Amino acid sequence: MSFVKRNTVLSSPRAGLTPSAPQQQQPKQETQLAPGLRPSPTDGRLTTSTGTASLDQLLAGHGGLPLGTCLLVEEQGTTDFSGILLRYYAAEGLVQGHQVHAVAFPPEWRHQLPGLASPDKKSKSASPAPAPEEKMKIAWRYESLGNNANAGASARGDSGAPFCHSFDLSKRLASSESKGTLNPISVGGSPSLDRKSVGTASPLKMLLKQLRAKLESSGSNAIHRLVVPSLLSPTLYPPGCAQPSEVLQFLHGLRALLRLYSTQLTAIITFPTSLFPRSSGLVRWIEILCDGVVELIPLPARLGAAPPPPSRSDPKANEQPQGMFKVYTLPVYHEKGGGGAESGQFRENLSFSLSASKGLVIKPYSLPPMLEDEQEKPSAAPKKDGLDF
Amino acid sequence: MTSRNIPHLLEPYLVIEPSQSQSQILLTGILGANTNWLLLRYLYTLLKSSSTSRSSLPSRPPAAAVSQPQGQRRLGTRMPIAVEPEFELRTSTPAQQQNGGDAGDQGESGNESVGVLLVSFLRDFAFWKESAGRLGLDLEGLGRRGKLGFVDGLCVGVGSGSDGEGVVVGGGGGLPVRRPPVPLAATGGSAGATGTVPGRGPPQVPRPATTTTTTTGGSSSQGHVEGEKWKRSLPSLAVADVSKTLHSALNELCQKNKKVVLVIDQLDFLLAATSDGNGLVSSALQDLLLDLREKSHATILTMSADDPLIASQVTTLDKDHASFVLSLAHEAEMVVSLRLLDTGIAKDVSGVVRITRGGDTGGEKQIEEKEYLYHVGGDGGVRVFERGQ
Repeated sequence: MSFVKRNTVLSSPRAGLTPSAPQQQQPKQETQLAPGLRPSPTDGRLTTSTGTASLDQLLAGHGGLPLGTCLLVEEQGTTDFSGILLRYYAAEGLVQGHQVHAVAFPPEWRHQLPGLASPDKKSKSASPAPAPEEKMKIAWRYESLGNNANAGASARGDSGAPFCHSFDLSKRLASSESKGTLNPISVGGSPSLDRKSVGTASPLKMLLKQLRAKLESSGSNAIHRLVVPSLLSPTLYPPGCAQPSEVLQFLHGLRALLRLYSTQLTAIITFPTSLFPRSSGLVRWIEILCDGVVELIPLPARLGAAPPPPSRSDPKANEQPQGMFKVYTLPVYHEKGGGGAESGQFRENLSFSLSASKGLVIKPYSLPPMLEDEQEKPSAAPKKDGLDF
Repeated sequence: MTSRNIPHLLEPYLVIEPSQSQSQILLTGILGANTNWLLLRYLYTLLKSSSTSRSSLPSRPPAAAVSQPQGQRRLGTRMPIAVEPEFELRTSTPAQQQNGGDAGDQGESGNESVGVLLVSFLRDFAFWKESAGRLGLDLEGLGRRGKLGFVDGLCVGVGSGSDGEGVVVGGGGGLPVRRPPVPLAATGGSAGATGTVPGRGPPQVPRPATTTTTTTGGSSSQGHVEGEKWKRSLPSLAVADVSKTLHSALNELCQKNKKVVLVIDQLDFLLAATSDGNGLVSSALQDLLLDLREKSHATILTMSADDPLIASQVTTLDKDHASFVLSLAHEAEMVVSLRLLDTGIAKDVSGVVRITRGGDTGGEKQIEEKEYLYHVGGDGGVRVFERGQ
């Protein structure tokens, strides 16, 4: 009796009471899941990786972006950290064999995607992966608590195929590594003449139509990723798109597509908040229409500081926060009402840093130790004196 | 159990008494503190009695049992989850109880119970079904018995995006548009995987149910459409189309139920997405609401009340939204607003719920103005408590 009760109440019914049953189920699952998918440890819905392991961990304990949801990545200033996120997202999709739909990007964009990290590292992190399944499950549970120290091990799916690859920004994604297809979707045609010929049909609606056609024509097993870079930026989108009716209906339609193809489609949209401030009603509506909203706020470069990537041998230099990472809403989690997930990691102050080998790393922000500053000051003072003279 | 379904402190505010005819309740939320959980509690309160009356209908004895103490009467009839809340609901509405007792026939009181027309612009039926299912409310079943109507305002964007299909779909609503992808997902291996996943967590459970029902209905599509006539979808976002669909849905429900409560989730989206800035949409929507309110017993509306949308009235979008929401608040009998904690983010608090009288104080019901904290659990359960508790 008590056994039955537990199963109904617990959010994670595989509490280890029946080790045999889950073990029997898991192998089946592995064979049937499309590559790059993994059931969420919190509620079992399928998730896929964003290509950035630390971002996966932030998503309310799901360990990835749940299928059928989208993420809005806002960025302040003129930096392009969110573009890096997009590239990782696209590269991950290509490596996993997903169909990646890139809006408003030229096909050359493909050659800017980061390549897979060197395999020797992978083999190292692969060795803990084939541990007994019991251990794997324990690792999963910790992952849902947000305590994962070893991203390499947890970033792997059950099947041994990696869930989130590690990429190297200094390399380029080789065509042999990408199993998926990259479909560029143009918005109203790049030259202005084209736009006129399209006529009255609004470019964003055309975009939705194209995406829908692609979704329909592909098989039911194909996993799709939609990449929408700097939405509404006038360099990529015709000016009419910034009309509330245009962009809101587009996002509404996208939301509908995501729900219709809730086992096949995910999307990441980046958005420049310097052009469209968050205090405007339009942006708020855009945020409401997206499932998850995060914002990147780059810190101003420190005056007089050494250039950030001086050498690879110095790991600390790479870990200096380059900006703050704010989470406003998360997919699924806030749709339910917000609260309750055990992983409260996203509530803390978060910072991000970018390195070529690790990509974008998001972690709790902590003030750097005072020691460094104290050392710097005396060293700087004499220099100034010297300059004055 | 009680706290899980209906929080004690909110109970008096969730009940719509017969005397409050044509009243309007406004629920406002903001980004990160949306009204889904609250609206679900309203739906639960409205529909719970009719869903238990179904279970009591086949077993006639209840008519004789009316005179018995309620606790006993209930014992035999209800489902385990519904026990406490239903009991308390009844006790909290003595007026309704009396009516049922005078009629002397449980079946009649079942007929008298309310029907609900749920109009959702930002969320699909699968979401409502899953969340309501967690409360023990079977929306699908209620819909088939004519207690519930659902108008899908989300997937309309898809229909209008691909014009050709939208026309073909025509009168049948968006259902045909909706259906194709689901069997696609169901036939694939991934669906097989979702089939095995549910054992891992509760939220997944409702999903396979949808896929299975749709696949079984997929072959005989005609019968399926007739069976789900209570589900409609908007032909377009134009106010005229919305009005037509809502009126026909409401009329149909009115034929089957004496009282119909109209629930519209985020009607303000329509204003934001279709307004052309001359205020026509806003006034048209208000007219529409007045017409609908005349036919319905009560109206429950959810709106966004973020600062950028209400306070900073810079663009026409903001101004329209603010005036629309404020005028509805003036017409409302009660305003329940959700917001995040002013002091920051806490682990065990999701937000603040504040209940205030609206502008329309003509009703007999005295509304006690209160402010509580709430917390939504990972399983969808909600706890409402005073500050400091």
